[in-house]
Amino acid sequence: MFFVRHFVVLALSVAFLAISCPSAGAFNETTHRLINFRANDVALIDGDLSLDAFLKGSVGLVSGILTQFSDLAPRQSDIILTNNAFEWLLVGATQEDEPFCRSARHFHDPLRAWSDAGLNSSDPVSAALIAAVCGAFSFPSSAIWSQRANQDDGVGGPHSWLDARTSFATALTSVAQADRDRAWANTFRSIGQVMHLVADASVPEHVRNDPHILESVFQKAGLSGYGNYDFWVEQHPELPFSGAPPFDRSILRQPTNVPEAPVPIARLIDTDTYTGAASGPSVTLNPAIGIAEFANANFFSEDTGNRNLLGRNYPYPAIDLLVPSLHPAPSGPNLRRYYKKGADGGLLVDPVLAECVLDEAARAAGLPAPGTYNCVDENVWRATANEMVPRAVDYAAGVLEYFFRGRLEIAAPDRFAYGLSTYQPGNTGGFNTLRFKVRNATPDEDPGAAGRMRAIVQYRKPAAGVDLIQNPFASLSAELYFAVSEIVPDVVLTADFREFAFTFRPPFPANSADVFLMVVYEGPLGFEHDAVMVGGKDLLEPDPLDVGNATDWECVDGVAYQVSDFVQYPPFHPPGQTQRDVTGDGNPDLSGPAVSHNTFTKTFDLSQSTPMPSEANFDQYLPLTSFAQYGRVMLLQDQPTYGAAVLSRDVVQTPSGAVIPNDFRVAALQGVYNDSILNPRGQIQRRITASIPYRGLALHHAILLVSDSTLPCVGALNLKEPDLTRIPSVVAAP
Amino acid sequence: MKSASLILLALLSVAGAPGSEAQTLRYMGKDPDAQTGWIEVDGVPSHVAPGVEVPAWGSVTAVTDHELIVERRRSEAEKAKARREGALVHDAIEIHIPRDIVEFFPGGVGQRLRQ
Repeated sequence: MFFVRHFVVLALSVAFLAISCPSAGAFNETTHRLINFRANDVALIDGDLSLDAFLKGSVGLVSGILTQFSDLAPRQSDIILTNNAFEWLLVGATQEDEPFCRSARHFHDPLRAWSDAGLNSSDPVSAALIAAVCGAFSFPSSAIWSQRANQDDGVGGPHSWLDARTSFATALTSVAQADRDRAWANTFRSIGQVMHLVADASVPEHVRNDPHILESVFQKAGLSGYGNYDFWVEQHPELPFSGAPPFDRSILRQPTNVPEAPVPIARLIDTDTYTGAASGPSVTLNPAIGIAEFANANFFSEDTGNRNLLGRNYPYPAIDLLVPSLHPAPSGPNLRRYYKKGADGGLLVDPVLAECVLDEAARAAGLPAPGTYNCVDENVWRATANEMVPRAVDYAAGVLEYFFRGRLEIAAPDRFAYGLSTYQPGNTGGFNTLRFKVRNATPDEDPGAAGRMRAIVQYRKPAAGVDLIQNPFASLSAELYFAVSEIVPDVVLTADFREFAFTFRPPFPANSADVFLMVVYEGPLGFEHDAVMVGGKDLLEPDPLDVGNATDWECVDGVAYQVSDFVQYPPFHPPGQTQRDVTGDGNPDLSGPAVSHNTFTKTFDLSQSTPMPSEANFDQYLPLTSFAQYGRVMLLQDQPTYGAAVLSRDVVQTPSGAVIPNDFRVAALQGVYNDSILNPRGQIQRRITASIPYRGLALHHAILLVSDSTLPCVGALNLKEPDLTRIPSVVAAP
Repeated sequence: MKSASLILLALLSVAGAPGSEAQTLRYMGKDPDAQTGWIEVDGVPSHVAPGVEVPAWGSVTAVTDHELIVERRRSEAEKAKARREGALVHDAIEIHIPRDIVEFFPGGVGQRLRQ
């Protein structure tokens, strides 16, 4: 049989070379897409977060995994230009097999040194054929190929783990949306390709140095052979894609000690635990095992179910310990001779090997000495697939989980406000510094050494430069804009919060909406030297904090009086000047206007204790505020409702000269929304906090000085004249 | 003698609302222990609860101590117009209208704000 099979290969090889390259990948296209598809369902980043939730919560993609990204880079014609993130994972699933010779890098023999663990067919016919087509007899192991710094050697472009990392950092830190989109597309495609490599390591042929190209040659020649595991799995979508015992995620925190594959993602394939006869196969039943080790120790491949004269022989499954097991042949009425695993210490698989179909025919015809060569057939493939396909899904999910594991948490700074800036007329100012706390929230992994960090603000602009305070309902740009801070170098993050200041040159505009803050770290994390960690926070929109003096109008019993008009309402000096006694009871009812001196305003988190504003602790300081004047600062914060504490050192009532010292008040303010969210119906919903007109201004909220009696009719004063005039504020250091 | 004191002027009325026909709207506050509250549309008070339609504004979705929230679906024509203009296309607008006047508490009783 051995020589018959290779005669067929030789006979077909000319046609094979003339027509095209066969796909000699492990699973076929559909299966790889299904595995990546299911892996996304299974993956839980840091044990608690789906990829979709991660993308929505940490990187500001409102549509999560359904966000569309266009790859504008030169591409093969069969790749769709625009896909969502999820579809790019599936593109990666298929593209890792293109072109054909790329798949020669999809082998890893866990019983060899990693430098020698790739495909290196000892079968001279296959080796010659592969060398003729792919130009080499041996290829790098998939564990090393997945981390090769430059995969661009004529076999489909660079899509390694390292390329995915680079693309991820670019996607997070580029200023232009088109650059980010392209990088996102490459990120997900490259991750999909690494997932492909891990899934391939679940295929016995790929971990037992078995090129298994016969059926591919047949198929490409328009013929049909007996089939193989890859084609058979593709034709059986009813196979389970879940239900495998999950692998122990702690293997992803083991160093590899292999310079060519230093990232522990390689441990998904090989943990160096199973060493063949020395360890025995029982170690592969421990969940802390690489998938290649499990597949190698417990299953036969197409051509490794017999003792080879020329090729590698594998100690397990132990052929000598196999036990006969009769099963119906896949088709026809005959019983076929099968073998199940004996007590070799590995996984019990029944059937694990079969007599070859021609032997069965010979035996049925009464020819002597059938059963001289062992094969794998549909029943063996089913037994293999039942175990290995769900495992392939789980291990592929491990790629997603490990890639996105690096998590940063953002918290408000001690001062509460992330950003403070001077208001510029027309709302044309901007924030040049953001201040906030960051901590490493990645479970069980520390950077250990210094990396670098940047803050990124994602926002939308109003149409035609409309002032969003004046008109918060203005249309917003469909395009997202990004401001990227200068790099903060030499950052060593720990699990404890530490406060940083991020500088933006140029400043990002105060007249912006849909603000989402991200922080990106690039540097070591665990055993990965060039990891990327990211954290995100949906901030509320830039918020005009107005503090003013409206004591020029007062109400008494619902009637408004302009008390700054000293001609009509001169100071109360009875009996000659009694105009301020509007109720006729002999006492003055109108006290204003007033002037406040040294007014300090400090915002704060309502869950914290109330601060006392002072010369050393303020967001806005107004040295002197006369009537009909106000000060405004622009504020960036993260709470739907926040506190404002105001201290005026002196409030002087002008007519009487009376002084109110140290007037201290506290209130809750509503944060400003102007963003887009996904509503429970899965629709994009714009969320807007309305603004109001008040004495010539548009504002969201204002802290105004008025008299006690005026409070009930403040609403009636919003159209009174004169307009409030803005005066310069002192803004706290950014 | 009357004294001046700081008050918080949170929101008095609303203008420039989503539709050109929009009327001014004030949110006066929530009824104690109920999901209902009072609004004033063009000076006319009315009682609202989740589900009530406020003409030109939308349907009330929440009535809280701090704000009234109304939601308004966008028509296909509105969405098509936004798309033509290169603007963000959204299916609905959720409008937050803060309670009209929130009085300052004297300093030192900030705890009340957190209750």
